[in-house]
Amino acid sequence: MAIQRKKADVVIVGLGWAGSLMAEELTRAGLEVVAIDRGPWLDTSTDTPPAVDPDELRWTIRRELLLQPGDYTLTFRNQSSQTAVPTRELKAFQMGKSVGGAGFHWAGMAWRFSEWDFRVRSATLERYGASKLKGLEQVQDWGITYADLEPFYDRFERIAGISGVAGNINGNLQPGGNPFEGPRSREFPTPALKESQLMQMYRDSTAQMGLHPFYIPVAHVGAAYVNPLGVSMAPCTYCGYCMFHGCGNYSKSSPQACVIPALMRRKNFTLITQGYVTKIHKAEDGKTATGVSYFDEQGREVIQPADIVALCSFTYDNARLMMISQIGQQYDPVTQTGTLGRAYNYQTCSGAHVWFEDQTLNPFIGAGGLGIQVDDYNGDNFDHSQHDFIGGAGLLTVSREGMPIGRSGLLPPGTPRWGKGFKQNYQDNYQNYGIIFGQGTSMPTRDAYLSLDPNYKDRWGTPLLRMTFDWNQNDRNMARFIEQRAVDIGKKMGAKHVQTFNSAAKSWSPYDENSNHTQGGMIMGEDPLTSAVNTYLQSWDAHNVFVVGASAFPTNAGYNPTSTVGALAIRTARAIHEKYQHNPGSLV
Amino acid sequence: MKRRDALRSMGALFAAAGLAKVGAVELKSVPSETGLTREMLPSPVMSGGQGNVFKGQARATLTAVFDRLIPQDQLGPSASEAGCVDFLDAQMNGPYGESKDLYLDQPLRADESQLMGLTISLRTRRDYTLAGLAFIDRHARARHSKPFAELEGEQMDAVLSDLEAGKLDWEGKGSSNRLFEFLLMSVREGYFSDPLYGGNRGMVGWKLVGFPGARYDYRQYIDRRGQDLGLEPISLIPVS
Repeated sequence: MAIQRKKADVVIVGLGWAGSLMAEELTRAGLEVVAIDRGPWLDTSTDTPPAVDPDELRWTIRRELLLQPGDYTLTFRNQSSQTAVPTRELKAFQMGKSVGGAGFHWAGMAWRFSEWDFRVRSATLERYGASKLKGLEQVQDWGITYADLEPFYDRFERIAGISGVAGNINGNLQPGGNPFEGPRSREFPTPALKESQLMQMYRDSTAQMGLHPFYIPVAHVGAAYVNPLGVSMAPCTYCGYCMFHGCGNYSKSSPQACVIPALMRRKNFTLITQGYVTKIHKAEDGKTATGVSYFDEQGREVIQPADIVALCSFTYDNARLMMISQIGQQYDPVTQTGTLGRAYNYQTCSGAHVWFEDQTLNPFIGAGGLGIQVDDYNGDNFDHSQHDFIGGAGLLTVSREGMPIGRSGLLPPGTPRWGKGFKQNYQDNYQNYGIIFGQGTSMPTRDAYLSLDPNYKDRWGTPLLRMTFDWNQNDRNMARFIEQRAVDIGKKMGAKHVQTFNSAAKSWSPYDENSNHTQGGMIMGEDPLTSAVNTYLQSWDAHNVFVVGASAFPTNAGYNPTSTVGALAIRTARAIHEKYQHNPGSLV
Repeated sequence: MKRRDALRSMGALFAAAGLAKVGAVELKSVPSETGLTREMLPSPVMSGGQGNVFKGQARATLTAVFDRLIPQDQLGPSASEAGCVDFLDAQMNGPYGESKDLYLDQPLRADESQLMGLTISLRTRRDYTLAGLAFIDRHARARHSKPFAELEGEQMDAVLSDLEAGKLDWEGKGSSNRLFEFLLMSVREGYFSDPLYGGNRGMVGWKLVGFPGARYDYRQYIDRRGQDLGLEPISLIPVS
């Protein structure tokens, strides 16, 4: 017999960036909120202080802060004709395993998407005509514009204390910023950090090529800062232990550093840790939800009733919980009907490793997102008339490659990896390596989708999520183009060795770890036939269920997803407390 | 397919992976019992190692393999002199060796390796390593009528090169490449991780490349672009 808890106004599943930002908005508006996270409590100062954090083996290599496949995994195949198999080892999938989710161990690049990214279909039709979308029929607009989301990007950046240099304030281009970015209402809340030697070289070389280098907006605060929730943060110290690590300095923005301290002091907020949500309960009429069930760590089923259910549990479980709970219709690639699982998309990465001679780059000085980018080949910032693809990539360099275990595998091609000569080779190259990373767009296609696996189950007997994905021709073509641009930049920088990489050059596998940016499957849109949620991330099939996260992205941009997840979460929460709670029903 | 073991408690999982925290509770404020816990602190390895996993022939083979991968030379000690065998022994004696983090449920479909693009094994890392070392030794005996550890250096290198090139079949065609890469990754981990895990003794790996170790603040150095900063490395816990 399941344990019944007292009904809440809102139950939030997953307390990462999306869940904590939702909870902040909703509790501030006076709603009674219960958040359930499958992970344990984890905090910055107590759990990852400077005595614990600078440990490459444990955090970067063993990834002990991340959810492990032994605990949670998904199955994978490239095509529908194959039988999917489980991902046994954690590589591309990098979910958090504690309160705070992936927001605790993320690297920290904090991008806004461009204006184009929200309307890829319309903009492509306008500029190039229908033929450009051949094979990309599932590409669709988001249903909101960049301008719609701007106030919420701004709010996210203030809460997180993002460090950056504006490129466009209210339509006026700013010196030193990204000339391709959408208009922002004001400057970043904290200033840019200092730049490394590698960043200087990248900046100088790309500028000489006529490109437009700029400082990457990043969640490592640039100066002492108090955010709008009253939480204070300290300037980044360039220790370099960010990605896969916590932060013992209150410098890397995370739900723990920026939101949860304020949240835990609110009487109308309750957090349940180590609760594993398995199901959303539907009302008898089938049109609304009544709450969720979870298993506690003793294996007891507990029911949390609520007027509103908000799924904020990362792309995969957002989709899986909707499928298990049968809220909406599963997508079928043959008939192309149904919306649950439709339009899964990813991040198409290519670029180059470069090695210089006689540099002293001091690569141990850095931060997870401390870098320089050019957007000249991103989105639709260049003319695609003569290209066999749409989209592009941000091309960046980043100063975070100083840790010695990982770096020992980054040696010029054809030089000793082991044995005689290895030590000399590594010593010669440690100060001379740089990366040019193209983080590219990803377009949905008919054959890339999520569904429930018929064979493999988790420990509660619930089907694992099944991913069916491979690179489409458009994205392969784009990645090849970007790979060559990376070579151009590397040569201009004076690299002695250039070794390209291209994740789309072969069929994808989850053991390839170029990116953890995994989107779609529960996409937003204006048409219930082609989107699972509306533009407020509200389920078309149950109006009190909201599905919040990168699962809502219909297409992916050549940027990291977190700020867009945060902005969408804040926008959704505001719509709930300003409109929905007073008049429950469809928000559109 | 069989249902996963429902009795496998989440608490045990977190403890195994180092995140045993405040239990499943309802929190109305920051939990008062939080603090830096034993689980979050790293576990140092005793000097000299325990020899719990790699004994006898397995230890001799591992030592020989590691010392061909990172030999002693004018730039510093060999892998085993730097503690890499003790390092891997300690790693394999804990949750990492037991592969608690991996999903190792059956079945292993015949086409799984092909689909995933690499050789998939359902062995724990400990079993995988021990079986892999035994395979290397068997191969040496078949080829040279001697245990691997007693081969000439060039002969060892030839075996390792064949492994690296995927020329030897063990768990299926080409599987020797994954074994080689695993051993190479392991010796690098030992040579370049914090000395408290048993390898990188005297921080020799860090001194080799000039990595300053567990430092946490470079604000006073970032402006000194292109300069040799001459920073002595520091470790999380000093070991002799």
